[in-house]
Amino acid sequence: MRSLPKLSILIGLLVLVGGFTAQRLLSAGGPATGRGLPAGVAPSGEVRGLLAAVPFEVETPFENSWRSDRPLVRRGWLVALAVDPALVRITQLEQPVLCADAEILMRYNHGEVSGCVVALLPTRDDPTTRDARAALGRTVFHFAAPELPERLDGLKLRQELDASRRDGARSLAPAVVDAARATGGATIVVKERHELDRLAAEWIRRWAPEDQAKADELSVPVGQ
Amino acid sequence: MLATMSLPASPRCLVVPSPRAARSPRGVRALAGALAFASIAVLAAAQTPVGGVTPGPVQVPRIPIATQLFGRTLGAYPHFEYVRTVFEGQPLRVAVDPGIHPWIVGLTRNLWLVAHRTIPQWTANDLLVDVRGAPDSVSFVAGSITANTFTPSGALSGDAGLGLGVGYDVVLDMNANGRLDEPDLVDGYGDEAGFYVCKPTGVAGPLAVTEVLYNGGALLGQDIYYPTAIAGLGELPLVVVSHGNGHQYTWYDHIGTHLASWGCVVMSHTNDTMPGIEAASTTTLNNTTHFLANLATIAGGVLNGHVDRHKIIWIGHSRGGEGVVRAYDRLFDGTATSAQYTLADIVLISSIAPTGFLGTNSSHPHAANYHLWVGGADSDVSGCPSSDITLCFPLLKRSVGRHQSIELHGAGHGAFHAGGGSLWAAGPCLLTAADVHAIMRAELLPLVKHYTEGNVPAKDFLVRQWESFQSPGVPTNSCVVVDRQYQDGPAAANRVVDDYQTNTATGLSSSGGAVVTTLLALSEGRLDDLNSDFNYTVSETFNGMTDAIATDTARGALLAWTSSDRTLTWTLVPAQQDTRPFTHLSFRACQATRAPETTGSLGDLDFSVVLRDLAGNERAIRLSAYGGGVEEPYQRTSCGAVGAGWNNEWETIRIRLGDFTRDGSLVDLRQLASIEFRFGPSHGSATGRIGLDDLEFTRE
Repeated sequence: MRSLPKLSILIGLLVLVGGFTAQRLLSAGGPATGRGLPAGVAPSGEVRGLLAAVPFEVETPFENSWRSDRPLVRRGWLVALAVDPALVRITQLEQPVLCADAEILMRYNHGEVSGCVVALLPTRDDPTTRDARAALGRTVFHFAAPELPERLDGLKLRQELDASRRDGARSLAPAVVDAARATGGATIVVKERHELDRLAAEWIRRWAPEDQAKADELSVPVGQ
Repeated sequence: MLATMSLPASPRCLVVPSPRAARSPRGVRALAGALAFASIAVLAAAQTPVGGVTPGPVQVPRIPIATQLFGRTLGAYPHFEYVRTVFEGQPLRVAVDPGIHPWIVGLTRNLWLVAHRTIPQWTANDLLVDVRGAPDSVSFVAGSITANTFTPSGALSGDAGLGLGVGYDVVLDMNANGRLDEPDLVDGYGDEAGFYVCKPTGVAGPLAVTEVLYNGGALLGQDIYYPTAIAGLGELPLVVVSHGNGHQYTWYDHIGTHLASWGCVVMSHTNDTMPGIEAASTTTLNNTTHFLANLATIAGGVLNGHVDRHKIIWIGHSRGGEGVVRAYDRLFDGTATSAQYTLADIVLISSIAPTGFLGTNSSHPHAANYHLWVGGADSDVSGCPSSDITLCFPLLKRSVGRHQSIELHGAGHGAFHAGGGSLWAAGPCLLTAADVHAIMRAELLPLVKHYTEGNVPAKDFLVRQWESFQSPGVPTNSCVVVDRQYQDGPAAANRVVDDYQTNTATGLSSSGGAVVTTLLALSEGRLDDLNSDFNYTVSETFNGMTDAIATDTARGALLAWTSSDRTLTWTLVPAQQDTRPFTHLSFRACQATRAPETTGSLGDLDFSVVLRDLAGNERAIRLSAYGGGVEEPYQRTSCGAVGAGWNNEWETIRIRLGDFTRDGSLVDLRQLASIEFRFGPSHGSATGRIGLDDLEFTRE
């Protein structure tokens, strides 16, 4: 009998946290729409699954326009994530910012119908190492509060990560990460970013067909 | 149309004062006219031999009388409006006020419509040749301008090839000699024609268009439109289109194809909008640079040598609309540079429903020629003051250069592109994307022509109210309601009577003259809705004003009247009393949304404008005489739980000064004492609550 009040309190807290999360993140969103998600993907939550992940290295570094300090990107992961479509609804106003730990994901597409987002996750360390692969397994994919990504600095990103963790954001299950790594295939080494873009286009066609136009844009041969 | 008269070079000509803006008292006018007509007799007398010696030919200047003749009839005083532009097939009207030219009464003369000539061209060849084959015969009578309004026969072509508008001059051959000379009356004696006939501006131009997709690398995807026969053309203006968030660079066919068919090169690029405005501005800058740097290879090099890098227009939509302003700001600040173009090469920025993320100091168009599109039904960048981000007009009002806007009732955010999908629209009487595109094509062409070529007739699209001037072919159903604003930059040297930026007490104008009123409600303040909705409360004076955020400085007035006649009078300081250098009185006005004085009677609001001279002569003109008024706010709900009405919609209203001297008016424009607005049932709408700003004398 003593446990019932504690259970009630726990349920209440969960409802409160869930509602708090929803309120913090859904200011720009609406009711979730969705379609059937791939097997192994959780049907609820902000980030519902990792569909594919592949390490990349690019010979010619490119600027990360998603961060206010605009660092150069030389390596990282190309990922395809399943997320709550309500959190990636297209608007001109602030949108929830998709992050991996305290790093902003450089999204290619919106994914507001499929809930599937293809993005680059820049890393400092070589993603092809075993430690890096393990780090991916510990990464917390989450949404920061609505904002223009380019206005978020490192401090704010860490604060948002802390807030997401308090709201219950966790790293994905190892099996999910392993499956995604297997789907992603071998490491990509390219000279220029646009070569990465073409692979991203394939993934968009596969998982976010509503963003076909974006895929087409990324597939126009360079120099044509 | 009259132009500024400068000293002609020909020894045949002398400078004579133009009678266009200033009207001397009637008796003096009559004398002047009679003298002009009698001068022919004087010239003849001068040939009489003296002392048995016949003098040689006398070089006598024979200057025609430059005046305004072409326009449109009005149903109320001033009965006729002189205008610059008409469209093919629209009625042609010529009118002469016998009060200004009394010496013509009783005469029958020929009315000529001739291809426009500049003064040197007229000097070289003054023979009158009517483009219709023969002139009309017209008879002048005593009385009003209405009695002396004529409808020239025939139709005139507006086909200017790649240009906009064919210029014609109107000549009343008063000495019946088939030449333009004294004392003929002529409209168009100068660099500008008397009037222009235009083809509808929304139809495709004469050039076939080629479209190609090009990829210069990451974030350098470009959808390019150019005239197929570009090899035979010179250097063409470059129009760059920067899309919004979630939009595609391939969604602007309606802009690209249209402008390319009229002689532009259009490049719509992938825009990095998801990170934000700074990133978007970077892609605008980089794509413009990349394009100009690679003309030798893009599309096989066909564009090389055919793009005028000194005539660049940036058009942006949504986040891209703010991005193009930010890009300009970065060039201005020096925080961005390009080896391919400079700040001065950006001849126009046009933002379509732009966001307002970055605020006063970073989203600033400075002295750029700036243009703004706003959709009244926009449910994304909505214009509701609940967030500064959704407010478009602050970008416009920050401009310190020439700036103009066009607001469309019923237009949603998504209606401005051609990508389909949601219109992002909320409100009554929604426009389709096809409706909006038709309006965009019709308005963009003159906008581009004006700022890349200095096209004269195009300016009418900027300064005239939609009710009295819009291109044939635009949708005309009752849901199509359009407001235009226009303001010159400092270079125009307009004479500001009151812009409310200084002398913030209501009893003193910004020009230092006294302001006297019988209004019970008159306030000045920043044009900023201070709360987060459009609900009306008595205490919230500037409800519905969305021209400024907290860090902006745009100010104006708010006034109201209820069922009683009221006046608002500006006394002109001595330095402002002689208005001869100017052609128009101009001001901005808007109705105050959701106020009972506004909603009590939906529709255009009307009042009277009065000019009074130092001798006490005055003349009143109602706004409604020109077919318009001050627009009712779009009757959209939400953004507050109470009532209907969206943002206060500013319009620029311009009244020609000469209209106040019509039909025997004694008002002396050289000695104006005051400007007075009269409100109430005797002068227009019985009740009203309006915003007022930028009262000034302007030039043509």
